[in-house]
Amino acid sequence: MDRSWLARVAGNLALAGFFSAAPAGAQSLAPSTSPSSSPPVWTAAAGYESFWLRDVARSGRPVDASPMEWRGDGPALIATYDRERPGRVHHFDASIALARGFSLHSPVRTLDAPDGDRARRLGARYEYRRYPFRNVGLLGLDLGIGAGADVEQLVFLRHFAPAIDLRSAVLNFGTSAVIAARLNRSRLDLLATFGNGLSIGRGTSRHRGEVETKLDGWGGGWQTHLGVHAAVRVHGRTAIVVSYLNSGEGRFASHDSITFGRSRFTVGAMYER
Amino acid sequence: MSAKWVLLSLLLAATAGSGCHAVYGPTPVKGDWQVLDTTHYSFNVRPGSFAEQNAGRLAEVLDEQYEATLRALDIRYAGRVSVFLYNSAADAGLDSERAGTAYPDTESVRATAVAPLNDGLFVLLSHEVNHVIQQNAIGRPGTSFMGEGLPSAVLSERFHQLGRTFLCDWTARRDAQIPSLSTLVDDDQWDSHDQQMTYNASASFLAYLLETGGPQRVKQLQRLDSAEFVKRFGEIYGRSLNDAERDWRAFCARGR
Repeated sequence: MDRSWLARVAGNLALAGFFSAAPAGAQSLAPSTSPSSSPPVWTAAAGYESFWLRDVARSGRPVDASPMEWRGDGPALIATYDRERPGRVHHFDASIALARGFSLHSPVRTLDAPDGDRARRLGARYEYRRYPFRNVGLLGLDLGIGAGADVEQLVFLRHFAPAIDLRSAVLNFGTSAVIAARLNRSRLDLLATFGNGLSIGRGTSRHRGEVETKLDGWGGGWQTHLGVHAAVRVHGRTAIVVSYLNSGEGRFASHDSITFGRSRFTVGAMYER
Repeated sequence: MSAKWVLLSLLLAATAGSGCHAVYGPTPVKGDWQVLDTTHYSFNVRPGSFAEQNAGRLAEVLDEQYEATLRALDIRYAGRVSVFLYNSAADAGLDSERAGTAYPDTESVRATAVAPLNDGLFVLLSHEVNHVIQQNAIGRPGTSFMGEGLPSAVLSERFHQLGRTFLCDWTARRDAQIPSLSTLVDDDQWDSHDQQMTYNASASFLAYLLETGGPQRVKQLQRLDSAEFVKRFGEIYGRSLNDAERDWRAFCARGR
């Protein structure tokens, strides 16, 4: 069964669960009505991430992207650190994902990509959120706004028959505006965030066929991410965390424009120090 | 309404409005398709369409072009190219009924394929598939001059008359209107000229270089960016771009 499909189903279920959950509490394990600071919260989680890429011929709306999509998936690891002050949250995360098993998807068929096709993503993100709207409609439901900054390195290894290798790497720096909703209950914390912003980055591309050529250049674009997290306290300071992230990015550079995205589903443990 | 709600509404509108392409995906490919495989291609055609009715002829032309491109540039590439042939410009999301776009990273092409079945359609599709073959075989271009010129410079003349012979005749007829090549190799000036002019002039010049000097040095031009093109051209060819341009115009004026 297509694992990216499973990730999307899991994500949709998580979204549905968040928006249909009746009464509940916030992102940290502390209740949102508490006026005092909460202790730092560490989370470690693992799961898998599906990755897709399409090349872009026109970056204006609607984006003219290729009818074929290069798609693969693989394991993902993420560590996060959250520190909450009354009404505000500092969030840090670092993640790594490796994708393989790539194929080229069209609306009607799937073609296997060469076995050696790979993608690797390393990312780190800081997000600052404030929750000026507390207990909106029901106890424990807070709405917030924030801003984020991130750095991300992507490496794609492509192969073309009969013996052509292409290694593309992108180092992106991004900023985004964020809106968030959190719901706190005694044993359950739910959080949904949506961020959208701009990125700038340097790309390098090394093509090795009969000769080897290397090109590099700066490019810019947009980035969007939608995340849903659920934490269920299981014992004292620990909780089980289930997260889903769907993100998309566009990178527009001279003779080298692409759009790519990922869906990540992880399960892990949260510890409140 | 409080300032907080105004702020939140603005932020929500800004984030939601500009982020939909990423979350919901760019330009999904809709509708019914039927896949027809040829030696080098997977044709995706609308059932009952003009493209489906003429798929055999299009396959003949494009399979020949594939081999001709490999021969002309002395390159090795064996990828299967997925070609999506639409019923109209509106169906394809393209600007005209004779338009196409290539996507080398995913070895695919999107184009309109409407009647009549003529040289214009053959050239359009040949040009687009050449983008895919060339970029994957020798790397992505550093200039629009190479990116758009080389796919037309190697057009096979077996099934139509719009290859290098046509380009040279066109050059002789339009000599006075063709801008200096030193401006065409500059990406900042490329779009300031008429598209047919830039495409034909670059293709004609590169076809001349291939015919008179072979493919090895032409391939070295592929990755050069605008800033270094003129200087590196002189090093590769042992003569300046201006001198080569003068020889090319004279070559075409003599009727090859």
